[in-house]
Amino acid sequence: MTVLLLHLKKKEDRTMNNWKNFTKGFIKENPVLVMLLGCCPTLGTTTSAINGLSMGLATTFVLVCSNIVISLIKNLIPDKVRIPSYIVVIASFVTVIDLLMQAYLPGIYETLGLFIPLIVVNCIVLGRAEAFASKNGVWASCVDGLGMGLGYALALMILGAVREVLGSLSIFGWQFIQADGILVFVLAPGAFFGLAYFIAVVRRFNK
Amino acid sequence: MAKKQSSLINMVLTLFVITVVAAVALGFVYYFTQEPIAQVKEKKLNEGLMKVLPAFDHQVAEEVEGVPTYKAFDANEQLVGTAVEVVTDKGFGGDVKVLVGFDTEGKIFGYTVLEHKETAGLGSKMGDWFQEGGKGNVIGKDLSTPAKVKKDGGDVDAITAATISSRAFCDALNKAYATYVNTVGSCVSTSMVILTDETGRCDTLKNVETICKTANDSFTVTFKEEGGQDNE
Repeated sequence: MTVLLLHLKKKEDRTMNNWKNFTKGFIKENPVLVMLLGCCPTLGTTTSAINGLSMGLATTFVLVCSNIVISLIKNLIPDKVRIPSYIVVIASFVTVIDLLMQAYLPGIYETLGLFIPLIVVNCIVLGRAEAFASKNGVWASCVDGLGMGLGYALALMILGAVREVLGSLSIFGWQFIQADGILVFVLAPGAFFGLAYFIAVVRRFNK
Repeated sequence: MAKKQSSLINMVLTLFVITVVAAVALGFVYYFTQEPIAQVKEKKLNEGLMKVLPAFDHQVAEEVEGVPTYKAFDANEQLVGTAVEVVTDKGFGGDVKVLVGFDTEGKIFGYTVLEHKETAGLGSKMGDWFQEGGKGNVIGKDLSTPAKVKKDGGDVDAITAATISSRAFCDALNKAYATYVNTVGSCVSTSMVILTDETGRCDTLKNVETICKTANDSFTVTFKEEGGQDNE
């Protein structure tokens, strides 16, 4: 009886852990809002909500795949060459999504094309590989990648939406007022303003 | 399973195996996406050509001094228009790629912006701004006088707050026209052509209707009655 209870308790713990791994990426350890990783694509691609969301989802794909593969091969890689090995794995997945987007999502590829290859050097991907996937199992790494990626995508989408509403008076491409918005929010300075206030708000509620 | 030691042979082997596996995997993905990507590109090009040229039956692509041009013919092999794909580096955010279509008289029939990195909400408006009905309409324009924005003394209305993008667009138009003249040539109506060779001897051609300068610097002369052609 006690063995069964213990077993159930363990299972519950594991589920709890997975849930924690999954949710920590959204607020508590949000890659861009708390850890300030991957700011370059954040500032560059969030001119509209749909751009931010697609960039976030592309990064999520790479993050999940590379986390899975790296946690699988972590014991086969000597410590001294782990970073180059991770980079090769990550770069391969980035090239895969680059080619897939070119073939099947040409519209989105047109706006994001420049930033897709840059996912290789996005600190979040390498950061999760080094900090999490190289120390944890496959399932946990997959959940961690998914949580972190979706947290990143959510942050990018919200930032993109705010900039789109203020800058172009539209949301997800739908123009709600036929007029010019506050242009600075579409330009690079607006990205910094938006991100700064976003971080401030999240920090206020994250204590 | 214990972690592998960082010995030289281990490191070399690991990196070798990882790169080989990655290369093979990428090769496969490339192989399978090659065709869809080519299709997407062709579809995009064809849609672009439909937009910038009069209705046509088939098109012939050729490169004129490295610039891709597309000649469109109707079902009777009659030339209906020429499209030129130009790139200008004068854009605000980088290169701007425009497909410009000319009718048989050398006037702009249509254009479409294929690629640009201009500021969203400002320069990015160039896709609509210069179209028919847009504020800076250039459709039907004859580019024998180069396109210029009003600020530079021309007659093209620049996009509000995006003069640099508009200048880049005008530059693209002018480049396209230069290539168009090189491809199709410009024609002059005349009645008589005087030919001279290096020694200064003259000869005259009468009953001429038009003389056209074509690609590779030769001239084509069309006669009024016989309809014969003469190349010099």
